[in-house]
Amino acid sequence: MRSLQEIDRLYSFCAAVAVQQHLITHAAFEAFSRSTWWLTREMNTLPPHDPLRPLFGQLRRVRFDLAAAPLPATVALSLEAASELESKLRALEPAYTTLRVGLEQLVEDMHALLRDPANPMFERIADLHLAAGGRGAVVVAAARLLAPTQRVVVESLPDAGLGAVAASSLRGTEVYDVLYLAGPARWFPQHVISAPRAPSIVVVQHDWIRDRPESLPSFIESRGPGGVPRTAALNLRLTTSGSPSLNLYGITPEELKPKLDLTVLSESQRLLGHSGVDEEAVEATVLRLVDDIVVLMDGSDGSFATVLDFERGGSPVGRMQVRDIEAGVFVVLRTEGSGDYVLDVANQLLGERAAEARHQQREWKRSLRRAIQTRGADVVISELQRSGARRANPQNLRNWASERNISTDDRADFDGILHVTGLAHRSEELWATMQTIRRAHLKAGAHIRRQLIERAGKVEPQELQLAGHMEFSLEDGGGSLTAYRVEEVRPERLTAFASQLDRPLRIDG
Amino acid sequence: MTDHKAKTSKVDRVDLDTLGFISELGWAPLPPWARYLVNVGLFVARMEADAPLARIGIALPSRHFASHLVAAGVVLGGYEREESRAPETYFKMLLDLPEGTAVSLRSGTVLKKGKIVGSRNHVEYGTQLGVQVEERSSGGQTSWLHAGLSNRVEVLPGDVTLPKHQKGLKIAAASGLVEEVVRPLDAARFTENAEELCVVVARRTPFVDEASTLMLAARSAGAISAGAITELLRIQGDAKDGGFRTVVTPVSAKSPPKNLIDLGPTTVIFEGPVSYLRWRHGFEQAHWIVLLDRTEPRFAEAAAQLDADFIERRTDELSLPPATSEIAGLELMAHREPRGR
Repeated sequence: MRSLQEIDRLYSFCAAVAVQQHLITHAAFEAFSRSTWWLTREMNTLPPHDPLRPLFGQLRRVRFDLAAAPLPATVALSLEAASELESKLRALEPAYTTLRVGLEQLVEDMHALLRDPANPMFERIADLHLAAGGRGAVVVAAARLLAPTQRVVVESLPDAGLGAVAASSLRGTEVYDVLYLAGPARWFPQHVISAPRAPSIVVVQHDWIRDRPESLPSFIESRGPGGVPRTAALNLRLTTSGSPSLNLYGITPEELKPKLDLTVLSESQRLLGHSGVDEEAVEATVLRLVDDIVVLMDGSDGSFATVLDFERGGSPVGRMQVRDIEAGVFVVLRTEGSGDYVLDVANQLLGERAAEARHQQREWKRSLRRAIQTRGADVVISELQRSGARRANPQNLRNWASERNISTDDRADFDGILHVTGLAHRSEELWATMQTIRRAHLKAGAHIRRQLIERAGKVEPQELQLAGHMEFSLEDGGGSLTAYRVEEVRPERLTAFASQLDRPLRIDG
Repeated sequence: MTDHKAKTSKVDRVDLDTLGFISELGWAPLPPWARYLVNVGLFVARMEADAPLARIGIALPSRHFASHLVAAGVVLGGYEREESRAPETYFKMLLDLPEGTAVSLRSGTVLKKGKIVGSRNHVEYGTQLGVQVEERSSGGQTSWLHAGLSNRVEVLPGDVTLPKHQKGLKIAAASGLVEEVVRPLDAARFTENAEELCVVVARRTPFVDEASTLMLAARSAGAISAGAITELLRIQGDAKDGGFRTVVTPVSAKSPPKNLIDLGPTTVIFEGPVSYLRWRHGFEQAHWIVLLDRTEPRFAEAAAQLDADFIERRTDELSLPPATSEIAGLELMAHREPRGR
């Protein structure tokens, strides 16, 4: 139970927050960053699907991880991963005459960094915390860096009152004596500084990153309660320790942060592969989820996603049209097995009949898609209407041809399709099979939903909100589902194959 | 209901100086930020009925208790207006209403629903308003009220069906906290249905739960009356006896309930970015108080929308009540826009 005094403490932090910025030096990491930076600039001249791009995505991520968490280099990039990366780079090197010197330098700097045992970011935090005492926490901007950071903190300073938290956790009423931000302030949500959960914030960043902590006003015409215009959300008492590096000074936090590059995403999707040449392509909505995970979802009308919504009465498990999804919603995705978990469970329920039933389903859908490709959608719709498919229209035609849809709801529409595609003689057989599949899907959906409701019922909404994601294991080998908070609905649409939808994917950029 | 509002003739005002909470050291005044939030609610509720619409955004370090405190201000300000209206003006407004208009009628400690059935001239009391409370087939029991009793009648939204027999709802006695806080106003009518409802768009369950945990205390003449803020808010569906003054409508709903829009609430409090982004178009003709917790995921988007509204729609500045000292953590933006756009 919260009290007014507890909340009052949060306001008191706003009145007196002190921010210290510590610029740290790490020569080996700076050299690695410099060679990565130089080659990243050169990358801009390469074509979108150039094979060097994904390798560079990995290196950029290593650079970000080391700048955004107090980790030893070998945690961010294992020796095995480095060796594999080196072999790939060396294999590609001959094809890039202008980049050869830069690539050589990069490999050399990477090895020098891995040989260097120093972890100056953690050393600085440890020194400061041991001197200051109290309850502190290292704050990481990316939640996936939390576990390795916690390990480093617990192993190195077991009883010092120091822990680790993700920036997204600093939303509740838990407070600290001091928060150590790993990396430049701009990587953290504004509220970490403008709604502080400690009276003292220490920003520890490498000296070649150009950034200065600030507290931006929330509105263009911000005023204080006294009516005085505000140029900042809070008046920070900022002090800086250390000097900017003269060698690489000027890299901004934005340049370092992994980017959601849809070119890379397209490439990753291509590498994921799809089931065959006849597989349908859909216009996919791109959702950026918590922790820089991306998922493509069917963006067409009538496509639904499973969501967790704790605002509704009763069970939080619900369905929402993909086009209505907005930032803050939790989407539930399969994180073990294929993206379509209902399909997998339905196939289990169908047992031995599954392969033949799916074959028959694909058969008439492929025939329909071929008819659309060869004769055009308008002609096929006219033919369907003449054959008794009264609901034939562009949207329904797309749905009927989609692998993600089982069949028409109405028998007359189904018979119309079989007539137009030359399969009329198999009407009874195919319709019966589609009904069998439909029943299996309904049963599978209910089975999964029941489990999800049971598990979601035990979730503390606040806990999920703080973590940003949560995994639920299903029984009977059903794999696991994860609820992810949507951070952004991207304005772009991507063309994707059905088998590539609903699969969470991390993009190295 | 807002159409039928009479202008205030005299203003008795609630006194926030008595309001505080019980700290570890005993009674303590409200922290400056909490008091300021109550004041913002009071300020908006005290605006003239035909004043341009207030658009107020407040950025906060935490959403906890903020909407409750602002709502308490809106409720108290609304009650001031109800209590201070001139009986003759209000009585004339009631007489001008068409026959069949749904009303509530306070009779002793009981609240009944009724319908206006016209007026008559009484030799002793002059003009009287008739309020029928039971169906005609069972006698059509009707009360006749002169101007001095008009404050027993409140206009209700929509239609009402009269029963054959009506016992009415028992009106709860005002709590000690309510009595102290609304002083110098009459606390007896506070537990009836409000003429002016305070609407809060929020996550309903957390709002209602927090309303019962936020303990306030009013101090006067050495005595302390403590109670939860829910006693001041009187939330629909939560207030046990009598009427309600606050309606909490869940942010997850697809659209605002139609009957709530029909009520034409004077002031709407949006708790959090999502409630404002999703529902702001549902209450265009109400004053807005938007409370944005800086830590919430869509804070920047909601703040940007408030900025866009400020740029596109403002007609003039709105000066909010001054604070006695600068309050760190609270950031405000306020402007007015004309009614009827």
